[in-house]
Amino acid sequence: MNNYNILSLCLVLMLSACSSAPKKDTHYYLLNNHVTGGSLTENIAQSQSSEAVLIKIRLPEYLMQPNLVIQMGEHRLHYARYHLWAENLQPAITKALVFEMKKSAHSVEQGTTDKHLYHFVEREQAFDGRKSITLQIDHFYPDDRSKVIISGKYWLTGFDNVSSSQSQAFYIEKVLQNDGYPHAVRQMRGLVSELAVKLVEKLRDA
Amino acid sequence: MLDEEEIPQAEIKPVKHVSKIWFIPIAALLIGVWMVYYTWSNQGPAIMITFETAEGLEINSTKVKLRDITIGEVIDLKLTDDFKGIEVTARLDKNTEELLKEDTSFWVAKPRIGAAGISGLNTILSGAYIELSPGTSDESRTEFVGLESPPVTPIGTPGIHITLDSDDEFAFEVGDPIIYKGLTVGRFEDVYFNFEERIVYYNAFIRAPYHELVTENTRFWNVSGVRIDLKADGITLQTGNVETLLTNGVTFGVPEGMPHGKSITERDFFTIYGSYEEANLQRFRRSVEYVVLVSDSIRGLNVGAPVEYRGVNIGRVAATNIHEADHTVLLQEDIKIPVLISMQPGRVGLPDTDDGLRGMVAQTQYWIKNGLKASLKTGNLLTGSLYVDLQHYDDSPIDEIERFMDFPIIPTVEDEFSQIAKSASVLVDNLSKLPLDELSGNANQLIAELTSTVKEFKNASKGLTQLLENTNQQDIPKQIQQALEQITLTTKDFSADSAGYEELTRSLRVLQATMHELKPVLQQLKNKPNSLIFSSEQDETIEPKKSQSETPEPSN
Repeated sequence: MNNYNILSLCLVLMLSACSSAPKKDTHYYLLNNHVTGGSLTENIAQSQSSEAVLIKIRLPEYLMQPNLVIQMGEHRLHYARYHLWAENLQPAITKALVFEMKKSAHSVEQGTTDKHLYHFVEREQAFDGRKSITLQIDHFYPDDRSKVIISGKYWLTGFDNVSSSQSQAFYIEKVLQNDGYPHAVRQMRGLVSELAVKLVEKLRDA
Repeated sequence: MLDEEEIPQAEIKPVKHVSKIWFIPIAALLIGVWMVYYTWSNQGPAIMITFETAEGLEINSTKVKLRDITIGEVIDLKLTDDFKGIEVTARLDKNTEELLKEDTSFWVAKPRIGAAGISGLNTILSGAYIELSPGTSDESRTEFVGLESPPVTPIGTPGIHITLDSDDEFAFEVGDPIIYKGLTVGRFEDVYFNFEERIVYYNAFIRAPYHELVTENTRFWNVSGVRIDLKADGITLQTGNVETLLTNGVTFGVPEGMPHGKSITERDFFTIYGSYEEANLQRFRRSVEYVVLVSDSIRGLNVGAPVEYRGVNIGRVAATNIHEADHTVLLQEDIKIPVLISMQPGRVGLPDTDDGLRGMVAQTQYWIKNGLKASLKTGNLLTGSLYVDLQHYDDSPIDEIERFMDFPIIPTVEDEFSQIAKSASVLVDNLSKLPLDELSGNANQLIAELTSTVKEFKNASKGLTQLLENTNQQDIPKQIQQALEQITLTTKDFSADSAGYEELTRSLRVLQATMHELKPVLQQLKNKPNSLIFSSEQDETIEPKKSQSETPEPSN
């Protein structure tokens, strides 16, 4: 075996070492899928007599970037490197919340004779009403206790019996039954649904 | 008893060997002697230099340098016996005896700011040192008087030393430049005032190869600052170079028309003249003097003013008002002021020799006898400078030339003012003969016509102004409206619904997405810079885990 053969062997080994790195794919997640997303929003019939309520959502800075977040300790967050949101969370949550509130209001409307219900709109649509709900979401992530949580405050503005300066706190959590981010995202979407139901119930009392 | 002869006798021998212990002190002594010899044989000469002060000098610290090479060190400092200076003793390196000549110079190198520039800045950090400039003399010395400042010209520099004299004030200082056609070719080295002669002498050096420009006919003149002359010829402004604008300086040259002459090879003496013209006048050695008796004012007639013969410059005014013998004559009413003029044969093409001088004297005397007369004329109306003009007049010839203080007199004619007065009187006479009544009638008619013309012009200009105003009022808003429409069209391209805006937004989104894609890579690089080459072992293992303890909820 001459020197050239040894050199070639070393070269092949070095190149194979380069190719042996494990391939990591980046995963992108949508909060709304084709079933729960906004595409079905228009199919939900709106009561003609209902009043429009604007939904506004404020997010903390750590949720306004594409990486999924997991809480690893009391004060420690971890940004997932290969798991990213496919769209900005602020419009995604707004869209999901509006959809769920419409769905919830519609189901409520179906079972009652009360016609003083509301329909909900996002900022993108033309809005000339005076009622609005402003939500400030402080926590919205899975944590190391195998739970997903959503918490924060909301203000009702323009409603007769509710002070606009008085905030209402909310905290909802769900338990993770499976490992991984896909299941966590599904549970987070479920948190939004539960929040929507709570809000609609609150509005019925307002 | 034994016989004495039978008793053996001890043989006594002197001790021949020395104890070995003695080798140690002997070896130490030899080593000591060798060290003394080595030190003595390798040390250079000790020299003594006298300075005014010991500023910056320290024992065993201050170096003696030649061309920035250390060749010695100060080993002692002490005051002189008369306490008027200090004596510096320095030990030089071996083989430096050849540098110590009679004209070897020493000075303390330290930061200096002067007319010649800034020097010695490196000594701010390194400390002062004594600089040596080797001499060229054959005589050796070990005691020197140090210079208080570096020599303007190092010894041995090729060039030539000259001595300049000036009866002017102390105009120049050591280091002032000598320039030639704007280039600094030498500098003043020394200033010396001769009390007996009341003359300032300057020793100067002109470096090679420019020293060859200095010949026996060379003249030096002052070019300090800016020189403005208001003379009969007009205003002249002269400067040397940029340096002489700030300091003083002299320049040199050979007067126009003179041969260069032989180059000088050893120290020679030259005079510094006040200006080029003054230096130029010195090119003619021979001249003949005459007196002109002026009956009017000589205000504006300066010494050096030209003497012209039909426009040709043939001499200059040597002195004005030469009443030195009797000052009372000025009090006489009809006194004529004598003006001494000198005429040089060299100026009119005659040889600058005694023959030429005689020829000029003879010719001038002939002209004077046949009507040559002098008059003062104004050379420059702005400054009022006068010059002496010689002209031939058709007067009757005279037999004998008058003399004043042994100088022949050139007769004068009335000066320009008198001539102007005469001309003015003639002009007034002519004016009085003019038909002024007829002219005034015509002038009145002309003024009336002019008045009507001006009125018409005024009306026309008013109409024109109105027309221009209307035009402006109609046009300007239209132009503004067009400009605004253009701006609207331009901004529409970038409005919210435009294709350009959409394109811009899309590009920004793509850029944002790309940056998001790059973020993990950048974070990986930040955590492990070599992860581009070597695979990162840090796989992401942190992800949400399912609950182990609680009862599973039904999936949504």
